[in-house]
Amino acid sequence: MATALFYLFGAGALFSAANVVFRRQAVPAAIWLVTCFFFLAGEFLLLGFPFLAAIQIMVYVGAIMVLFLFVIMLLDLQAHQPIQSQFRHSIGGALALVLVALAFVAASGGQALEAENQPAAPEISALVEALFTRYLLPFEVTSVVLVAAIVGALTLGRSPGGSDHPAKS
Amino acid sequence: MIPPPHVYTLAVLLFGLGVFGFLRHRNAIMLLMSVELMLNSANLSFLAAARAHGDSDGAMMPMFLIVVAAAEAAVGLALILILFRKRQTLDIEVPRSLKD
Repeated sequence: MATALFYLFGAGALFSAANVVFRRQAVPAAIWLVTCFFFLAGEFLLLGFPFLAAIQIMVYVGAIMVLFLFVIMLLDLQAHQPIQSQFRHSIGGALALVLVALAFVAASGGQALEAENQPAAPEISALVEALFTRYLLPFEVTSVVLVAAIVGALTLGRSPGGSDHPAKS
Repeated sequence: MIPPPHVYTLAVLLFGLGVFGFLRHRNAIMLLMSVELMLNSANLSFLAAARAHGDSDGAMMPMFLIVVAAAEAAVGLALILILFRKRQTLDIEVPRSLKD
């Protein structure tokens, strides 16, 4: 069951990634990338990392891809090429959603992965313990990276010559 | 059980697609999306290795990778906004200099 789902999700991820690469317009490519991330989250689940699957969906799909779509919207690229909503894209998204839900059921059922005598996947407590002991320094550096990125993005994205930004050179 | 070599193969294929997209497109946003694809394939192979060795260290890297990807997307998209504001295009062939 888990193996079959793995190949299914792998094929889905490859198909979505090919669609990302071969599209010319940015918006469909972004939507296909979201689908690809959903499939990859399914793979993470099947590999026994439900926490990372949740992070993948929340951060990648919920934050990064929304940021991409916001920027595409801000740029008004579609002035020449109007956005026609295509139904098959929503089909792809719905399909990915259903498949990920299926994988979640399969993985949380727990029998598919535990049945074979493979090394057990690291528990979330092991992850957290490693994060706050051996990887404490990288963890703290991560926050510095995030702050630097936020400040950099704010500085770069500030509107030039805005009257409420007198400090702009 | 999912055979790890197959996961690695999938990750390599995804990475190859990302490289292909990165080289093929001239639209800066498409380049960033290809980079995201490559980062995700790296995540997948890290997790496959962590699973294969029963070791949680491999699962640490994707967490940091996701943070780095978020930071990269934020700064990259801000740069793209500036590029578009200055040149009215996203074509990476157009800008000839970084200054102004």
